[in-house]
Amino acid sequence: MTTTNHISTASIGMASRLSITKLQTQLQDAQKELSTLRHADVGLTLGYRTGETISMRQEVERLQTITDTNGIAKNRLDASDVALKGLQSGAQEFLGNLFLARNGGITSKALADVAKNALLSFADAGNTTLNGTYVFGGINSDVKPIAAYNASPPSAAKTAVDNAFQAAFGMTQADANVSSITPAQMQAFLDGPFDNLFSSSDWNTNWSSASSQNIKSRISTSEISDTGTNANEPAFRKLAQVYTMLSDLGNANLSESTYNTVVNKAITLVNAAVTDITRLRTDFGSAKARIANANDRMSIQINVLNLNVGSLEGVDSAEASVKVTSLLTQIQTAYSVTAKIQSLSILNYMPNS
Amino acid sequence: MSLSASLNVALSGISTSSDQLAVVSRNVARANEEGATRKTANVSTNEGGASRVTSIVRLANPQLLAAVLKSNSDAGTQQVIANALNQFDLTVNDPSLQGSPSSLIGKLNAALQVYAASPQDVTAANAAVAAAKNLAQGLNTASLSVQQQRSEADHAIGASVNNINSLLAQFQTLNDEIVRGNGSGQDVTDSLDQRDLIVQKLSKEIGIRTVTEGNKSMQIYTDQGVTLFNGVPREVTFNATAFLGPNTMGNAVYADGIPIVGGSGTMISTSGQIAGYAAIRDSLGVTYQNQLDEVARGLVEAFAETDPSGGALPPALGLFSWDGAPAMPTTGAVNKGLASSIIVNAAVDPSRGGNASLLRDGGINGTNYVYNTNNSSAYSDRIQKIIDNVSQSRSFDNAAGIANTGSISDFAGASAGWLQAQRKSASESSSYNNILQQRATDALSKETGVNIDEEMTRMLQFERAYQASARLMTTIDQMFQTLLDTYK
Repeated sequence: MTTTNHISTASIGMASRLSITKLQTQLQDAQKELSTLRHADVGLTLGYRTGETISMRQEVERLQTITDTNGIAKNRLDASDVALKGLQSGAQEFLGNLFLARNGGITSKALADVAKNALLSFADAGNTTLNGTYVFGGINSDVKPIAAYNASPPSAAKTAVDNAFQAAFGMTQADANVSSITPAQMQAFLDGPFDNLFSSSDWNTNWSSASSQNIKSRISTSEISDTGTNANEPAFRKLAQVYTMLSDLGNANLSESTYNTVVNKAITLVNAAVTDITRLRTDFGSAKARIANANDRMSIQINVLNLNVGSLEGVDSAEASVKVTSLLTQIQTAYSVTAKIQSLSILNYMPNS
Repeated sequence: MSLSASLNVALSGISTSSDQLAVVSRNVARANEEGATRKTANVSTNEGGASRVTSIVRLANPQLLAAVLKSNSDAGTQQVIANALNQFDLTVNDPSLQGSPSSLIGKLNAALQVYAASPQDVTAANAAVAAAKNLAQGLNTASLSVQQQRSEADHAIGASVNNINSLLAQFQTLNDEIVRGNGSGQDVTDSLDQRDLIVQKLSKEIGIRTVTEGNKSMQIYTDQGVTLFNGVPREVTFNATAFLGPNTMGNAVYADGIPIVGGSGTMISTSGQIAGYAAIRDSLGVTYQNQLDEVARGLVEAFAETDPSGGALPPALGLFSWDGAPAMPTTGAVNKGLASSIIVNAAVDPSRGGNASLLRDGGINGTNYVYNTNNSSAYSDRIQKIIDNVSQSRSFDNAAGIANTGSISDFAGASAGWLQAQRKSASESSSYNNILQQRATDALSKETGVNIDEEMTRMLQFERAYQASARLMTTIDQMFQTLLDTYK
């Protein structure tokens, strides 16, 4: 009885029902893809490559964060540079005064006042803050690096200078007998006990609360570099030394030749300090250049990674829209075919008898 | 031959036609019923020429039925696996949502980088700790979800076993009926249809093979040859577990004392929904849990505090702690359930009275572990070291089933990739098997089902035969009349 092309009524209905359901599911996905331009189910489409897009997205975030934090480092470098630039021009100006003093163009008294003021601006520059942190504090960024020299009660630095002077000459700086100090005695004092007051260890005890450890920043994924300096650098110590020796060694009463010894020593120190500052500023410049380079590199990487993420996760807009259109057409066809099939029945053609 | 003999023949034609029409109406009535086959009446003619319906047979196709059974089982397995993996997928989700463990590690990394750039900033410290808490919670949630899926799979195995037992009981009733009816020559075609349906349902639960004997009795074996039914049903037993933790494995299913699902042995079924549940419970779920545990171990180790002076102090728990605290997890191997218990160390967590700055300074494990000995506010070496630790390559246990070296985030990314690869393959094979199943069911239905149009044409045919027989009777009656009139 079975014919080779027998087909059951139930299977006709089932076939069209299943194909329409399938088309509708596809349409839903295609619509989602058209509106987001990404795969409807990224994980399902990419399979194991999902791991790649997750890693790439993470890398983008990491590079972006480093780029952002590089802004903080750059600001610190800029602020430090401005402060050092001020110190440098102050030092150069003071150098002019020192030359004048050697030729008698400025009285020792007047120069002492200039030096006193310079000491104040030195402390101001050394205590420069940025967002509530001291830029020259090294990693001790929350403590004021340079203590004021002239203060009451007397600062540790001032006391140390007074004690050293007393020990060397048996009198205070204010004593009128300072005029009896010979140039050789002064030279010995300046090169010996007075120099020691500005050695690294004494400086850290009496003058500075900064840490000698500079702030380090990760400026690219693999590069950690110093992005700041600290007030323990020789440049700071030398400037402090110059301003102190010309303001607080009883200068007004020194004999001319002894005073010149002081001035000559100061000129050497200022010159060295200016060179040191230039070196520090050069370091800043190269750090900023490294940051800029790193930022450029990272922004290129970010672009490439974003492109890769896009090409993995994305769908072509033209393709997505063609897909939706063709699915709609397919569904319409399926509907009309189903309706046709359902209306086809031999019952319509049978006699009613 | 006498007129009365002709009349008898015509009469038999009428009754045959009515019997055949009865079969047609049975077919039409069940045309859209699942598993209903087309019945036909066998007609035979005796020596006198009278016809009668001797038996009703159904269109059956054992080969197509076997194909349906196999495709049912395969589709069931893959469907179950694909569904469970979709649940696992919620732990990774769309990469753009950045909710996967891998992305959360990335966020923690970014927070650490910001903190390293402003180590004196307490807000940055708190943000880093918050990112770490998110990550720990992400791992806890993912791990819990795996345990739930495994437990649900275990319960589903229990439900499936109950279903198998009840189907086997129904099967026995029908099988007995068929054997009895067949012996006494009754029409058992409807019972056969019912029995085939039960076998189909059974094949969705577990892969089976059937053997039919001469007396129409059927035997059922699992796809690996363990007897499920031979005259009487074999008892299928299983003890469900209330909740499967990371350390617990579920029980096996036994038929006649032989493990058939989810245990070890040579007769473990590989298809049917129950095999899919077992794969989730015993293999996929366990592997994914191992991966999560390894990610957690990597984190605990990367953030651990080591001797700041480079001396002999043993590594101790840092930002991340776990339920085995204060001991460190076993290194180089999966610590079962670590991902469930990983938590931000209370000493660092401000919401539990901790100090977030310990992340910068060290000393979570006492003064011997302090890195920032001068208590410098902008000290960033420790944070930078942690960032390096996180991105540094380390070894992972092979039990995790993915690449065994790489950074933690690489590993977490690979884990997400592994999951999606499994999901993709399960989903593809599920839709492939679904199509096969539809084709097989369709083929069986086409081959053995009822076509109403065909039944209608046959109805016309029987109607005509009925009319012809009736006309014959009228004619014979007239001839009798003529004969009787002759003798008036």
